[in-house]
Amino acid sequence: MNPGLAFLLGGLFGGALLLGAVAWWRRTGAAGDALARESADARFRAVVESAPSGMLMIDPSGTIVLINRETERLFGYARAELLGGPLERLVPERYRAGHPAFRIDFFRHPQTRSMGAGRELYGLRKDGSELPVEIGLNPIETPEGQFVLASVVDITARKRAEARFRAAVESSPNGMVMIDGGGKILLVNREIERLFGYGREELLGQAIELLVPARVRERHPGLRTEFFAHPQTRSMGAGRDLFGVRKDGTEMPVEIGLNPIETDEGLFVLASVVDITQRKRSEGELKRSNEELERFAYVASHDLQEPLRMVGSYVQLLAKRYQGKLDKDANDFIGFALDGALRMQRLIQDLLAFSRVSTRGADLVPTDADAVLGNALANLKLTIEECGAAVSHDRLPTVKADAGQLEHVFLNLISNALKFRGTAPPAIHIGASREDGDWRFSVRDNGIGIEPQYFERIFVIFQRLNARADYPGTGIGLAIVKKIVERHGGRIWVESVAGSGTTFLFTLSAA
Amino acid sequence: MYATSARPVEILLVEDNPGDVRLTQEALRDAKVRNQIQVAVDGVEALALLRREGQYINAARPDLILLDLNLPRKGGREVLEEIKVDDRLKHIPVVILTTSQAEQDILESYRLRANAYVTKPVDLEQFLRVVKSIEQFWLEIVKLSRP
Repeated sequence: MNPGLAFLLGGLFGGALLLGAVAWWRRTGAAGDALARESADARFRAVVESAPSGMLMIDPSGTIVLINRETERLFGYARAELLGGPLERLVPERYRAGHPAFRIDFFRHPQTRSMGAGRELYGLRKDGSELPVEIGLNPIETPEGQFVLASVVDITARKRAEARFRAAVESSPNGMVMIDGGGKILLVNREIERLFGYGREELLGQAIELLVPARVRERHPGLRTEFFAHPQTRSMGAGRDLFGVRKDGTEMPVEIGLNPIETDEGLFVLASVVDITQRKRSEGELKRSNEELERFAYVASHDLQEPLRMVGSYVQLLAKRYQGKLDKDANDFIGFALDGALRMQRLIQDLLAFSRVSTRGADLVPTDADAVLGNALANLKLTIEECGAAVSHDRLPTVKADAGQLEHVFLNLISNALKFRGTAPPAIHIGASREDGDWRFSVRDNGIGIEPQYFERIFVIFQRLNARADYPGTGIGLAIVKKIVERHGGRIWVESVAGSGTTFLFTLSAA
Repeated sequence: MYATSARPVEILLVEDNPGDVRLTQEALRDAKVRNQIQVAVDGVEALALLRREGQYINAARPDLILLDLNLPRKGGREVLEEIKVDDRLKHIPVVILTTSQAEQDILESYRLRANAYVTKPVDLEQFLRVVKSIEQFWLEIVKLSRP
């Protein structure tokens, strides 16, 4: 519970207790039994005295006849200084002249109510400083005549919190708008004015639907009411594109966060509004440029294959037919040309494979990773036997995946583990463990390991860490694996100590 | 066996890339079966030759057609389609020999009644082997109808 609320409840509780005491005092007073009356009077005073609010009782002339400890504390007077004195002593000078009229009016129409509805009230301390207050008025009939018991609550802390809240809202870089349960705008900040092109005074008191595009305006109050019935801090319109409409009728894509706020006036909702026009545009551009790049990579590599096939084929034909008939230089040159052509062919094929990850991917469906791993291991059976490798694995779970691509991931990571083996026979373990809503897979080996400074680089396309002669390859494998994992919405990373093995870890969504 | 037959086996190679024409010729040079290769460099020429039109009035009718898909003037698919609806030509086996590995091209070719679909291997040795296999299957193993 926030301190302001606790304070308020304390005040209310104290007030209720007090009203009970007042009623009891009235009854016994009317009965006229002197002894009972004296005892009731003592109880009444004790309750008033211990009330957490400042309590003052005045007579029709505005003379203070009773105060409690809290009143002393609030206003900085000793009890004796106030008793018998005029109430107006506690009223700031600027209101003092008008106050007796209000007082007289209240005695004429006495009823329990709060004072100064809608106005801000202040009390004047002995030292001349003011304090913001909330005042409740209770008329009390006694045999001695009509009195009014006023309860005074210091709302400085609440005012300060409110001012801080307003300042925080005002200076927020997001648009902020607060509405009540009826959808009425209670508060907006500068950014809302800027975003929507309205002045503050044009918005306050209006329905929030003013800022909602016409096509959803009719539906909006229902959604709003729904939210008030089940308030929780969340973003609005999950999965839908949201738009705000400006004063000039133009629309902008927005992101909206909803925060329910409990106040003593009821539940309010503070919405933060961000204009995402720029983000949307960038996202669109990025998507287009990515697609273009994919297309380019595919077309380029596909069309590059044709002429390269000619180069490769004829150099090979040259080698086949004239090997040994020319001098050694000629043989070397043919060898280099051939090697270059073949390597370029591999690069192009790898590039094609890389671009196919996104262009030829299948849908992500519940897939038994254990069966997929089984296929991968069957494919690698010969290599595993040749290396004398020991491969073990956990029972793998069912995940959301493209089975073909997942098999590629296992194939690649296990092949790597076999390829980059140390002097000991390879020992490889494939594991899976639960990580929130995801599964975390690991492929652990006891191979040559990777130094930490290369942990990022190994996933970059065509980056290699080892001499081609020691470990052949184009450096595409892990780039494809990373692309596949990311296409599945997962992450991949590596843990390794150079010389003592490597573990590749990646996450996939549980099915 | 055709090796003993009176005339050499006629092969029509429809291919616009001279490099591929030569490679195919090289691959068929050492074939067991005596063969003669005619080359058409686009679809229009291929059909004219098959139908013995104009300058091809005396052209030999091929026993086997090796057809590329990407051709100038008239593409391989159209050539295939026209061959397979022509009563005088539809009995001739057509082997699609192309670089395309696209699923779409493969399906479409068989739908148009190609007799086989072969992707040109990138590697020379494999290419030679593939052409030899085609030659071996269609010219040595299979009995062709030779009017």
